[in-house]
Amino acid sequence: MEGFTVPAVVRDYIYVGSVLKCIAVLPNGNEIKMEKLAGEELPPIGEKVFICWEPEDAVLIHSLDNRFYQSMENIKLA
Amino acid sequence: MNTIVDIKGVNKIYGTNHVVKDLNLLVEEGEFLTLLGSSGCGKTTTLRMIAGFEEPTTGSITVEGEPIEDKEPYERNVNTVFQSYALFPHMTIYDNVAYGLKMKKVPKKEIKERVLKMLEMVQLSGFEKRYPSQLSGGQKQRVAIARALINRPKVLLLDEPLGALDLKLRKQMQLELKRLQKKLNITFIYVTHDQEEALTMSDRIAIMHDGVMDQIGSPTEIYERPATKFVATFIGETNVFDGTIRSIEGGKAVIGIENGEVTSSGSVEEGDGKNTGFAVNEFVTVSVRPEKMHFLRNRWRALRFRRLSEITSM
Amino acid sequence: MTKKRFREKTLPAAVMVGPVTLWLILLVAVPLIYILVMSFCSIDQYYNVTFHFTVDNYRHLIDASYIKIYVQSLVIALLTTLICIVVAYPFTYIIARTKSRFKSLLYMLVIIPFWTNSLIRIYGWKSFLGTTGWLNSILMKLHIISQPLDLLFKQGTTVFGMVYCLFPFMVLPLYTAIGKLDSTLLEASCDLGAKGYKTFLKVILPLTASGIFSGCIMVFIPCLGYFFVSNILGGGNSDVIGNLIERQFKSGNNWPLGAALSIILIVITLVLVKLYQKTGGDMDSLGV
Repeated sequence: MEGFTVPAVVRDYIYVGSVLKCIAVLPNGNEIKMEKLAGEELPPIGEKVFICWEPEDAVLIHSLDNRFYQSMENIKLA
Repeated sequence: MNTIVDIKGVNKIYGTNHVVKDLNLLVEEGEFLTLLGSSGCGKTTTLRMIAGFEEPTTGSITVEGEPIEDKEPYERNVNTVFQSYALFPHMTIYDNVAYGLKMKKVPKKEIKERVLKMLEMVQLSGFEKRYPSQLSGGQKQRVAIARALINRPKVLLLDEPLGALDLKLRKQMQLELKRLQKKLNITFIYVTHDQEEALTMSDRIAIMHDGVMDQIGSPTEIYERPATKFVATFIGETNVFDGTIRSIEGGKAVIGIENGEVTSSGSVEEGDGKNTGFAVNEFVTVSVRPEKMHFLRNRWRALRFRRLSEITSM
Repeated sequence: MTKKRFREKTLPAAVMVGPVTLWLILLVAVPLIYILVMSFCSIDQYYNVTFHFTVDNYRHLIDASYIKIYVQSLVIALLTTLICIVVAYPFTYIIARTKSRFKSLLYMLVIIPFWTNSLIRIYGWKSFLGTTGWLNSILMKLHIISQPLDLLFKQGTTVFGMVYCLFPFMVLPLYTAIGKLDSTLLEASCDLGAKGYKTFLKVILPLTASGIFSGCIMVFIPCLGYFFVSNILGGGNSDVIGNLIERQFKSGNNWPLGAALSIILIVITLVLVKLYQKTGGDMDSLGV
């Protein structure tokens, strides 16, 4: 898979009805948020996993340094 | 598509507060456009300038080709639905809805016909003799809409009209408003801070942030192809990685981030990074939506995947 | 009632309500009853009050000379009220809706003179407007007039004095009513096609009507009783009912007659207040 594969540790699952949110922690401490449909088979908490995505799903955005954006809750800036 | 509202270079400054910064926006006739952003981003101020309650400090606004700076609110072919409904408490529902027509000196018979028809359209037939204080929030909302629409404006401005309603009623009203807009084919300019509402109802969304319009596009465009980090993080949830472009080749860019490298593909253009495309060594942000991320099932490692029920019972 | 219950329930209630009730009884109810009783009394040849029941006092009230005073009082009171409305409304509207930092200051400018004794202020006007007063002196010095203006002791002067004293009573309820106006209602009215005066007639006026009515009551009723204004500025040419009452208690030495007049005035007041309440007036704002 070309996109990116990043090692992470599963930290938490949040149940929101139709979807299941998974929080995983990267080696540098940053968090990754994933969304999975309920019903799938998923790794347990504490498990070391690899998270990946397609390159087409990685959206490139100009980063304007002179503006400071507030990050969403749960998203930490890399 | 015809442009019905043209906002050119509009700035609004209150004292030292620069609330709307150099806004350029074309509103297409018959579309449902939403101005989306958090409090203080300038969306309500923009709406009020179109309505005529505020004047742009610089720049111009034209409605149907005519500049409206000198026109009073009542001279414009535009009506507003207020957040607090602003129904006249001392008048019946009938008189409230008929108000605009009475001001235009429409004959009594025609007024009666149109008021009754409009009340039917918003499903409030039989409420003519009641007073606003006797109505529920949702009903007051519909009266406010009826009162505005009866004047057959070219553009209807709605300032967070569903904010005071409970969730279920709000969702119901969203669909009703959308249905109404399509049926009457009136241009709606809608202001909200609720992104879900915007995504549900709009043909196009203009995301405003700190007085600037960050991006304008269809809900899909905004969600899948956010133009700025703010848009990416404001709409839905996302994972962001900051980095530098290492190379661009054949529509694919390789970006160096903290943990290594990411590839972003799908028509990445090489350019100077300012006017067109992206440039090598440019600071960029990579955004990946949570639903696009997957666990890699590595055959060689003994990853134990369990069913959901087992995980949540741990 | 057990002793415990008395201590826990009745005693605290009595302590809280008691003093006020006592105050009301002693200082309000008792004098009123006293006046009521007196209005049915007679006087003997030495002008002493005797407890000889009579309704003669009330019969005297419809004497021709008295009727003239009633009409005069009504005219003065109506004029005063009208002038107060016309002057106070635009003035109060601007103060109540201004966003300037001076809003409180402007409001205080109306209220502060209110705290000064009106008697002293009316005396001030008397000396100001007199033939040797400030106004005439300055106008003469500037050669605008050659003869001093004869301003005092006219009906107009009395009305002026009444307006001056009662102006804040019109401003206060108006200020409250106008302050409560929701500005989005005005925007909505404008948005729907109403020009300035139309918005005023159809939205602002109806919604501030209770304030106007309240102000009218607050000006009209005291006006009937403000005898000192008509005494000092009007000099006997513009008596109101209050003057009649005053005279009976002082030079007339006919307390029972004075009492009867007072009762009538009280009745008129009650009728007006009841009328106000019936037309949906806000009873709380009457207290101001």
